[in-house]
Amino acid sequence: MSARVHSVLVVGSGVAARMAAVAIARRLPRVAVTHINTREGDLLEDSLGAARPSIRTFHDIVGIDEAEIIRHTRGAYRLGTSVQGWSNCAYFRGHGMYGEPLGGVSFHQLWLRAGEAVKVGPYDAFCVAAALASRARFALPSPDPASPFAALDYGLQLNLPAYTHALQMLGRAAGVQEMAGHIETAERSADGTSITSLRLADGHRLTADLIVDASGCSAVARRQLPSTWVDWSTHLPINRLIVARESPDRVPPPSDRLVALPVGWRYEARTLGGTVHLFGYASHHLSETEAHRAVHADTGCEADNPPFVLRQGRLTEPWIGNCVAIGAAAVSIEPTAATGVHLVCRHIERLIAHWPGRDCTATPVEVAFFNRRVGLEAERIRDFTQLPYLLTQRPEAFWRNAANGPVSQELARDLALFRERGRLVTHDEDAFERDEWLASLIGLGVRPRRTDPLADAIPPNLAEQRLVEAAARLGRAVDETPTHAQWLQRLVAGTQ
Amino acid sequence: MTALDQHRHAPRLRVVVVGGGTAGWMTAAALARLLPTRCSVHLVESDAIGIVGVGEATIPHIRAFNERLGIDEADFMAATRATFKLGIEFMDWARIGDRYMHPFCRFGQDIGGVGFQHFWNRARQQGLGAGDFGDYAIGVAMSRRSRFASPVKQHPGITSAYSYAYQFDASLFARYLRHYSQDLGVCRTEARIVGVSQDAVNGDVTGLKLEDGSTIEGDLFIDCSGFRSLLVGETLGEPFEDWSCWLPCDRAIAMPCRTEGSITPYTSATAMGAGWRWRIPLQHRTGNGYVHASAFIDEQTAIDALVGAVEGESIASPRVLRFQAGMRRRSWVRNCVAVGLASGFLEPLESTSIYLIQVAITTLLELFPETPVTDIDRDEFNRTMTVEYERIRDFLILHYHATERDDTPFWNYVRTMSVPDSLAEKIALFRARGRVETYARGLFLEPSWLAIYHGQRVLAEDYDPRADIVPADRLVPALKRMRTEIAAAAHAMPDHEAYIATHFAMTGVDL
Repeated sequence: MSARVHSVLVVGSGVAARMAAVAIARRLPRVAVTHINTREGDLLEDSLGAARPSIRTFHDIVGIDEAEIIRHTRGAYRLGTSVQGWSNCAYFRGHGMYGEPLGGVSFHQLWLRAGEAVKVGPYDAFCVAAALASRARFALPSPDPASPFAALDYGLQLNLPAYTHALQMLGRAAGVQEMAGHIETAERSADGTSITSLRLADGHRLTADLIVDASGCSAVARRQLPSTWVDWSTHLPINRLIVARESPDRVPPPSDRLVALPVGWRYEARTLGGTVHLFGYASHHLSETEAHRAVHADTGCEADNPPFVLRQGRLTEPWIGNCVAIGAAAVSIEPTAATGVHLVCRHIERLIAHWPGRDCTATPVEVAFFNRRVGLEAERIRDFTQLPYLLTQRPEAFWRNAANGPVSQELARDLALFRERGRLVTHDEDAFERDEWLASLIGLGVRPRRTDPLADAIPPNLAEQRLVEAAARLGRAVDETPTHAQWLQRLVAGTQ
Repeated sequence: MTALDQHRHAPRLRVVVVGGGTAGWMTAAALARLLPTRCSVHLVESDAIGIVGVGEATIPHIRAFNERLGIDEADFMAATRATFKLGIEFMDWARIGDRYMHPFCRFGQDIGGVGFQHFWNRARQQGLGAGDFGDYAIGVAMSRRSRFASPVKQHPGITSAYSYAYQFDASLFARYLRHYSQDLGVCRTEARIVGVSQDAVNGDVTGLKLEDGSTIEGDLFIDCSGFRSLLVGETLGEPFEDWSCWLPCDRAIAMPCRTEGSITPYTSATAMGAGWRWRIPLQHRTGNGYVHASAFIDEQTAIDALVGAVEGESIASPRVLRFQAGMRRRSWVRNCVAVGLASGFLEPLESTSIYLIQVAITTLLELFPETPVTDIDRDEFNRTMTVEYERIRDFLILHYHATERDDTPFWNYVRTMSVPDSLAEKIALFRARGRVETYARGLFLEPSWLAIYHGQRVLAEDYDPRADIVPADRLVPALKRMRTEIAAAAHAMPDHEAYIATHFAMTGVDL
């Protein structure tokens, strides 16, 4: 057994750094964790608290009680995203399953064959999460496989300022040492691939076995070492973000909302603690003044920052030597697929699983594996995030340009197969469930040319009847669930 | 009329299956049962084309195939003289005298989201009485005691979370499916194929010329002609990718014998001087064979070695099979789809022959074409098959390469050969910290890799640091409890042979 890493510096100021520090301190109690609070906000990572189900895995890893953290930080449950304005009608990108296979035939194939017959209803009508969200209700997944709620999954809507603060307190209790400081330079090892010490503006020099860079897009520590950046700006043209905040005015819904605008989009996330509107736009299609005007027109509130400059892309090697970049420091991508918090969760999970020996370079095979899998997942996220851009029918110049953007080889093949026959390719590493891909493709209006031959075995009338019954059954089950407001009330009252 | 409506009224494709072995009849049965509106099936077989039929041991996927076709388990088991299989026992692989199992189940219980192997590995490194890795697998415990019972789904604990497959007579399975297919209207022609006609313009196969001068025409041809690969290999000239530098075995001597001793609920693979020997117990006999590399041993010596090693009186004289490890670069070329040996060969060390047939059929069903066949269907089929073949290939190579044996030139070769990068990386990753690279497509999940690594004495140098979170004074009793629970559960199960005799015995056969 090799010696373990004993000291860690976590660099950053926002939710990513807090999450990393507390996770390491709780999961690896023998490691001394120091958090250098760089006090440089990162709007990409610290504005939108939309968290996929991976946040629950993170809470399990750290030992955070879910009800307690929602109550304490005034968050909300999150079943998915209502996506509006890209295609003819809005669609829901929900967690958990859509429909059930019948006689060995995929549900989506049966639904597609039914050809949106009016009596069968929209695709969303078969998704438990969507059915709940459309009526502002909530339920927890059921362990009983016969229950319609067995097919349910959910994430959380984090109220980031309070959540970040709560993690800071938890970290402190778990022994995380905190110091404020601005990183000026780094001393590097002779071969230039490790950081021997970080020098702060106040003259402090800090050393550690491992440096975790959770400082967001600026990657203040990781950028001290050699890096290669993969630029995604042609795939994803949004390069400016503006945030506007509102105080809580009503009970938050159990879902968030993504709305297409003539140049870009608005992401609306509500929690008990308030509402965040995040705007994304492309600076070569919209001026700063126009953007601020658009924010005000759309939400009635003022943006609270100058536009944040977003460079979408990723590092080919988030981890090099003794420095590992996580979250937006490794993968900077617009959060329209709610992947901001998700990336942080996944990267922390992987880092802990691959926790290095004291001499980090002694395990190059694991570092290479970490980088490869983080890269694969990031590219799937990019492809998924790009779907609405590629498939929208919106006429504006911004959207027409985006629709003609470059497409990765994998996505081109996957789209061709889906367009041809509704087949969805499985990938070894994917942040999204198959049903999320399907809901997006179908929601964005893609309809396969051919029907699934295996569906022939189920007569259309029978299939349609089953679908109608399934939707009705789901509707009745949803009738009996409490509203999201009731859940949150009970939670706040401490009875949940 | 919409495109969809037109499609519904499209004429059925005329599918012609070439060859009536396991691959041919499995394909015919599946197409007839699952795509009756899309195709008609005509199978051409000739008794002159032999059936290889080494694929007598299977993996659990076969049950899904049977289930999809609505085949009753008891009926199937009686008809094919089947026995249950809980895994494969490997003997003498890493060192002479070694013995381990690759079961169809997991090992131990994960704790707090951390893989069991890390706790086992920690206990081993710290001398905490880890015991044998196999002691934590219910499938291993059952095999060692020759026990069997169907798994109970309601209580998925470490004592009931196992799967099983069958060991059966593949030629009887083909016969069983032949009746099944013919009942569903599959047309069968017994004839020798003397020629293949092709479209002069695009090269598509249009028909098979038979020795009586007649022709069988079709739209889609399924090449189940075995090693010969009549359509995809011979006619369309698809190149064969040779993997024999990594898997040098190219011959097998097969010889069935009477069963002495008990009918084990597992297949055995015993390493020999220039390859390995299979033992597959069926209800009425035991299949044996010596898979070997002709570059390292001559045929007569191999035959003598097999005859000397089998346990019971032989039922037939030894038969020699010849093959080469590898696959056609593409299995689906033009309008011809190779299924089974016509598409490639991987030795039956992990009982994957029938699985590869099955995955080709499943993929074909999902990508069933229209005429003319388009690249989009073909490319996806070929991509899928390549992934499947390569992942099995790497897994097989691991068995040979991860050895300490240096007693024969054969073992010296495989031990020192260079392996594909895809495998070298996996081994390095495992050695570092016991981590298994997982994938979504393709065979062999984490427990399988763990079984082989540990069995082949590839041990991780370190473990996941999260495994330290359980204090030693809690880990030791937890491990002991798992072992005891598994052993007790296996002990309480019925004897395999008695279980078959009660529930699934063959009928109408005199031993």
